[in-house]
Amino acid sequence: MGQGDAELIVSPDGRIALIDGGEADSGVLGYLQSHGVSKLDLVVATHPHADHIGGLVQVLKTLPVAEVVTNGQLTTTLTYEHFLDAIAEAGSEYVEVKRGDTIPFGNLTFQVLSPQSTTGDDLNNNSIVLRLVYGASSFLFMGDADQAAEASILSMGLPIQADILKVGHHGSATASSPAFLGAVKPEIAVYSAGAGNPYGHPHPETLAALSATGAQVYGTDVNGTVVVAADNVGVYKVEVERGSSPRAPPTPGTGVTITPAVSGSWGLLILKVISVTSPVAPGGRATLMAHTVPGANCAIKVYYKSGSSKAAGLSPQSADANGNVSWSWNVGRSTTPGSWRIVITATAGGNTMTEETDFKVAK
Amino acid sequence: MSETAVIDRFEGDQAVLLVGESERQVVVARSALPKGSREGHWLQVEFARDKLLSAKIDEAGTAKAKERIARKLERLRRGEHRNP
Repeated sequence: MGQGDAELIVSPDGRIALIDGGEADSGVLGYLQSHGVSKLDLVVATHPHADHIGGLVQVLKTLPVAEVVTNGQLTTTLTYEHFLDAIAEAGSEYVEVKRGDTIPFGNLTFQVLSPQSTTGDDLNNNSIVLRLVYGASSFLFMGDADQAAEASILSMGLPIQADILKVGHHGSATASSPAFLGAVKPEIAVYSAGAGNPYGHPHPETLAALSATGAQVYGTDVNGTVVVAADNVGVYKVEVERGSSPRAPPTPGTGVTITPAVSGSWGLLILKVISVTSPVAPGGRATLMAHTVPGANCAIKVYYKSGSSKAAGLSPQSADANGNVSWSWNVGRSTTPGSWRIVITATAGGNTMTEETDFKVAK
Repeated sequence: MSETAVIDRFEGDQAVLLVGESERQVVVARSALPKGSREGHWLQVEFARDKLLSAKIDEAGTAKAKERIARKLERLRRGEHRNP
């Protein structure tokens, strides 16, 4: 989308939030529409610069938006005026937030870490900074908050650790102080910057500081749209449009980040073996528990020396509303002892993911 | 030809201008803008292609835009758009 910033967030219970919308021609609306988003529960404008709210105007004119959240700081651009006009026209609930406020989002809650106030005239530093926690997974969305805002947040002693960080201010060196990044301790850091942008974003010192935290760093300039799926046990999956792990482009370069675990219609799947009985004596009973997205169709194959097991209890199942699925089966008395392979698959929204594990049959 | 422009933001030593009714985006050197230029200032500018020939702060235009937009913001805050 060129230079700009937009993050789409889908909650486990299917609520959809958009934080910023990139520039006016960012392609964010097209991205939403091509992914079947017909309405938004929440839109957050972190601050009123055109590279964050420009794309929101078209979104508000096209899709029903239940609630729009801002920091209440005005600017004098026509882009901002059109943004206000579009909110009025859409009839969305309009809410202003500051540090200490919370924004309900389905069964999750955004904590507002910044701004403390909007009295200063530095629009970037007055960005809304949001932290979201989903079980063992945490997220931090920085807007364009620079180091002054970071220092203010640090001085409050608020919880700011985040596994997944939307890096502040497009990777500018005016943000992402080593002290702040050290407190956030991200595992995954995503910045949004237009390829060949005239501002030099991301700045090399910021990339170095991000790498120094040990985080995996992604950028929309090199990776296109970055999708992060996370579940409540701290399992992450990152898909990028291009770069190290190419995926089919929905709309080229929309620069959107999608977070928590969602149904497969987003092309996001998680599959993890939680536990398996091992070892099992011949004639005993084994149980495998796995975690995936709610409603995923799941299948299991257990491969013994003699071939795949025909045991009752190994039939396909749907994951429950929490994404849990389990199978229990009898291991035949004559089963050859040894370490045997189990393959499970989960299918949702036309995507399939496979995981393998072993279990031991004792002598 | 003289046009109106508004300073959307500064990025380091550069300024992002939104020019004319369509708010065409033009990035110029911050040093090319008049002293005292701030984000949100309306300007009278002259371009040759995307090269800035002249820029002058339009205080009256800035105040007018701010007043108009502040009224719209106030209506949203009061929720008038939801109960017309």
